[in-house]
Amino acid sequence: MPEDQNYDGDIWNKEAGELLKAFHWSQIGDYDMDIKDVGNVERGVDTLFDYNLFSNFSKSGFVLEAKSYKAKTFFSNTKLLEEWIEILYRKIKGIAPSEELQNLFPQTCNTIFKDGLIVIWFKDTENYNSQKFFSLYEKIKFSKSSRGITRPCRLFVLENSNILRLLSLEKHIREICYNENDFVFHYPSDYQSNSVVHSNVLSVEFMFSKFILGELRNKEGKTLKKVVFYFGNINIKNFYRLKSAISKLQFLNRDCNLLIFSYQRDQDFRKYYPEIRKLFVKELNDNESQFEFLEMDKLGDLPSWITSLKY
Amino acid sequence: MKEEDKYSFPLPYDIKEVLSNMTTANFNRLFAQRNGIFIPDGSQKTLGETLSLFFWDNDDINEIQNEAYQKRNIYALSGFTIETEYEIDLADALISFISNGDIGSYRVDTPIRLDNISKFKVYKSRIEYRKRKIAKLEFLQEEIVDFDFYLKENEDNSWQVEIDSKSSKNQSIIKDIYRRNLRIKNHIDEIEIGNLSVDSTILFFDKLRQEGLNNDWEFSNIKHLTLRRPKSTKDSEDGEEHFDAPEDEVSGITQAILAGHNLREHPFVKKSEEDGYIFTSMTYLFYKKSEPLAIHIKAEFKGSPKVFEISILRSVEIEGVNQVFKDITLEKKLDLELRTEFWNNARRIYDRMKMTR
Repeated sequence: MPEDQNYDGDIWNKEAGELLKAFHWSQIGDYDMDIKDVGNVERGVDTLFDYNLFSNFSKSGFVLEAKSYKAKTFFSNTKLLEEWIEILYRKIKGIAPSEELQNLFPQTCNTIFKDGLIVIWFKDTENYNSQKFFSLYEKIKFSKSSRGITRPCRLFVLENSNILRLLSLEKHIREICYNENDFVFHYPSDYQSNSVVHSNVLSVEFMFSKFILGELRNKEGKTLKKVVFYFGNINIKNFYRLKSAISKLQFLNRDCNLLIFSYQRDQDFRKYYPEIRKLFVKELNDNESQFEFLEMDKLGDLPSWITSLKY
Repeated sequence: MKEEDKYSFPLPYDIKEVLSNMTTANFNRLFAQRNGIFIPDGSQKTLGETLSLFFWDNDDINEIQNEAYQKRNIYALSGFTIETEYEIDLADALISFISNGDIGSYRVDTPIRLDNISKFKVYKSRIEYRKRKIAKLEFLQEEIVDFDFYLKENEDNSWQVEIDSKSSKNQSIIKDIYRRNLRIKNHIDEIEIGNLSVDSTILFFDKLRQEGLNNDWEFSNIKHLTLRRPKSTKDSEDGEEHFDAPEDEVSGITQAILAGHNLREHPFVKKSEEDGYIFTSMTYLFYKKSEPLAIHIKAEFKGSPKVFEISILRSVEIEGVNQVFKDITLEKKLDLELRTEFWNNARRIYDRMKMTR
């Protein structure tokens, strides 16, 4: 049993890494490294990542904690998630200012390590219930012990349902990029930069947002379509709000095609879809052919391009 | 207005403003956590800033908006005393400031005398001003701020000024008007946490439980407790560390109180004290004996500098044999009366404790 567990853990660490690399995050160093923290304590780090998006001077660094677990075992210990988060938190606080980190990876002198990502895959998917998992989120509370002097640390949790959601995103991006087309994410100004940023890197903020903006371009760099991936709840009010969003964020371009992908499904959607269609077409010179609406695939399990890694 | 126009998308500045000022740290934390985002050492402001960087859907935005609107309707009572060298009428003084044009852009109503026969005068007035906005807040419109305040004469050339408003910052407006314009020698005094020692603040909140309201009200339990301590380093956003006491500790504290134990001996309280934390707010649940009514009343040292204020967070009617709680809105007059009573009792407790220090 422990052999399987260690192996599964190692494999999942690499698989989770592939997911992040598919969104152009850069791995730093190797997998499974022991790094001495600022207090000279050795910390086991699954993987380190960073990406460069909003600044010419600094990169965003992440400590990845990959967990491959059995849902049955997990739900029998309600404090487990809280423990994982606390441990990762202390790990980041200890490693970020670590001398050994600087020495091992001098290229990260401009990388700010203050964020962590816990990516959990429950392998007995038939026993896993995402709602049950999410109900744990609110119950998590942190002790008030001394925090150290670095800036506030953010910890993000991804589990099966969100991992599959991101994999669906990856799949559709790949699919629309046929014929040498290219896809870039669109980061509006006012968020983390003074001007609009286009990049193939998916920010952690986009990863956890209810919608993602992007552009499909041809190989000459011309924008073919404005693309929205919408992950929020499905009802007409949510689409009113989404429409206002893409207008105010100056993402909409009257002369450009707009493609909206929708992830969640609703039985009654087809009843009010014509109203939603009208809403967006109106912003596109009333040109029906400029608007496209597609549903996203819901994956049932990790795709083979990830699971085949071990072979 | 077209239906779709009601769903304007809030830009990051709007979200940040609302989450930093119009919700609570607890709301922000839960909102973030529900979305898989955990920030163990984040203040309300940090959480607000972080959350403003994400795109939310309509349901999320409504949740934030509802929380902010709820908080908007909660009024807090705060106050201070002015002692003067010789007897004056604070209302007359205010009238003279107004007619001399010494109150800047604030609009103050002529104080109206409320009592007619009592020895000590009581006046009511209202102030109105425009809140300066750096950028257009489309999300929650709030341009004109107005609130009531009361001038209550006391013995020995002293007056009590009580302010009934949504923001503790408003107290300083009235204070400054008097401070700047009163020509006679005066001393302004208020309930200051700095004048209470660490053990005294605990005792202060405990005494409030016992003496905050009249005998028609019975203390049931503590709903919420906030602790703070000054941050030891310069690299901090608000110079303070604070946290909400965990629910199980709060229950434990309630049990200890009801059993008549010394609050300061409670392990959690003791440890917090040792770690340099002081109580800065306590929310009490009181039941009314003569009616099926209960309130969550909060006493808090809020803001920077800390202003002591009392607010009623929740009122419930208790229905039927099964004692079902039904949320109600207290009648304004009763709401004000209760907060005024509580604040004045707090004032008395503070004056006693301040002297024994």
